Amino acid sequence: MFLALRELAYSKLRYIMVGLIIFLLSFLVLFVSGLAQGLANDNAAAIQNMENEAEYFVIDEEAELQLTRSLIDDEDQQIVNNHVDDTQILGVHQGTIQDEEESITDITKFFVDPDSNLYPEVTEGELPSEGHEVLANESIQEDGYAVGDEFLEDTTEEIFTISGFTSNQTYSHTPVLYVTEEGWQEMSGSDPGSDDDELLASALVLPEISEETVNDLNNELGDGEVVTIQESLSGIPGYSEEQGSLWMMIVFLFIISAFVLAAFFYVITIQKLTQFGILKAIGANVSELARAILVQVVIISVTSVAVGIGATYLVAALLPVGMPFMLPVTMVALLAGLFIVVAILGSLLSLYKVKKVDALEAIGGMEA
Amino acid sequence: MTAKLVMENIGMKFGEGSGKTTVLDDVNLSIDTGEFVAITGPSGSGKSTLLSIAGALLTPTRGRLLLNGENVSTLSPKESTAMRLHNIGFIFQSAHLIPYLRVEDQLLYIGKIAKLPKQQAKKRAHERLAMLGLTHRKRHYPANLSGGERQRVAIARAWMNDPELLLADEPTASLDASRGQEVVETLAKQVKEQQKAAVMVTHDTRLFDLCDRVITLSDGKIEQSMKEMVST
Repeated sequence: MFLALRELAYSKLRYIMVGLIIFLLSFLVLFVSGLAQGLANDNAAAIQNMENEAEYFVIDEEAELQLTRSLIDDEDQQIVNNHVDDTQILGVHQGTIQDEEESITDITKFFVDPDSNLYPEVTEGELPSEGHEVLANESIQEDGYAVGDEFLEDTTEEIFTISGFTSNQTYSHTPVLYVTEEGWQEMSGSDPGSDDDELLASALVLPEISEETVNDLNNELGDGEVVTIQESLSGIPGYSEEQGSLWMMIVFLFIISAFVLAAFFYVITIQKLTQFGILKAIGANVSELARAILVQVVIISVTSVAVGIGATYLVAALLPVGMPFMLPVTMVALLAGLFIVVAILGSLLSLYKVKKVDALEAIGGMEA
Repeated sequence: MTAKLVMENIGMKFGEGSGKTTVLDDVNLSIDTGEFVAITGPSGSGKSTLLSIAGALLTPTRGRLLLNGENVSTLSPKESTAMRLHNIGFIFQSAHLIPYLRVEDQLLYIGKIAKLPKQQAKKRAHERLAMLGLTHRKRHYPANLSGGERQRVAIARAWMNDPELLLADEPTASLDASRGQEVVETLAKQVKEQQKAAVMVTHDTRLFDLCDRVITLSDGKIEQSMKEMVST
């Protein structure tokens, strides 16, 4: 601490510059991560939420993980029900709605049993009580809808009413409308109340089951296959592309940070090699010097990353409401920790150099 | 009188194979308590190498080195670092102070790595600085000191841990004649007062009469060792 702090105070400009770079890099990493999380949430929140309650989807093999293309026939439904008790039908359909002024909004209709734990909580208004009522995600308010508003649904060409709002239910960047059983039957073309009142299932939602059961199901199912909910996310249009490119940026930022910091600390250490040599000659041992370097690196990186976190949240607060940005505390802690580890790794090369420095050579004056 | 530093049959060779050069050849030297010895000789004669070996910065190819009766030649690098810290004070050609430490901290740091109690270190640092007339400079950084002041700080630092042996490599090289004289006088006085020993490499013949003995080195051998008459 003795050397580390005094040097930081003496060479302020130099270390402020290093700190500034760490700050900028950490800010960028945090911001891009926030964006990645926000986009993932905006794209898949409705599905991600289900992961809290269930574990697997049974999806049509040929749908390539796209729920909107998948259909599970009666036979497969029966097979699944024979193996697993607590299955739920999930209906997914993408479409549009029109308000009175004929302005069109993209939405996704979801059907799940209102009594199941997959059904979201009402944040405003009421649960749908009649066939032509829906529970909508609150983001649809941005398009001018409020509780009690009516709209024209595209497949049935019937008028539906928003009975209430829920939150954080989006699919493929569109708000999700939870429709009633009756509504779903109408939309999928069957006639409610008639003999043919089977519910159309895009997928079946299964709770946690044993690997054996998964294997059995995969063997017996005709067109269906069992996938984890996590795996099914990549089937949401654009999901893997968005997440892939953003996370690639984050990984690269970390790699760049590691090299930039290593180069910085290395150059600073090289400059001070003579000093380290003198210190060694007068009796400071290597661990003493290594500790001085590490203390400096930790002080600089912790301070800079802390400022970076502050700046990220500040900028996030200033973002427009519609901008998908989400940065959970656990994520921040993880990234910040990783950043500090990267900074320390970056200084290892310097530590090696200090270990190697020859007291005699550094002083230079001892050569006859 | 007991010998502070004993060098027995010290030999030093650099390089390998045919490029091998002998820098020191069978040097025998003994320095007593309270003795201030100058080493001189043409460049390339091995003066600095001898000093580095005496300071345990270099391990000789052969021979035995005793410091305060302890055999230094067999120490591990870690042990010799500790030995340097507690028993040897170095003064280099240029002061080689740590640029980001204030004068007082230069000394306190030595106390710290030697694990001296804080109060004691502080007291000792103040004594040393007062001794060298630097008290009014203790809050200054090396960059704001004159060359002579810097060299005196270096001496104060070398003195900080009460070393048994002080090694100085041309301590006056960066000073003008009168300053150099002054610095070496202080050094000689300290050696006598504290009953330590000091070895100084120098070319400056004017400094010889401050020393108890002048050793002339030539081609890695001691050519002559003369006693000077010193008036203390």
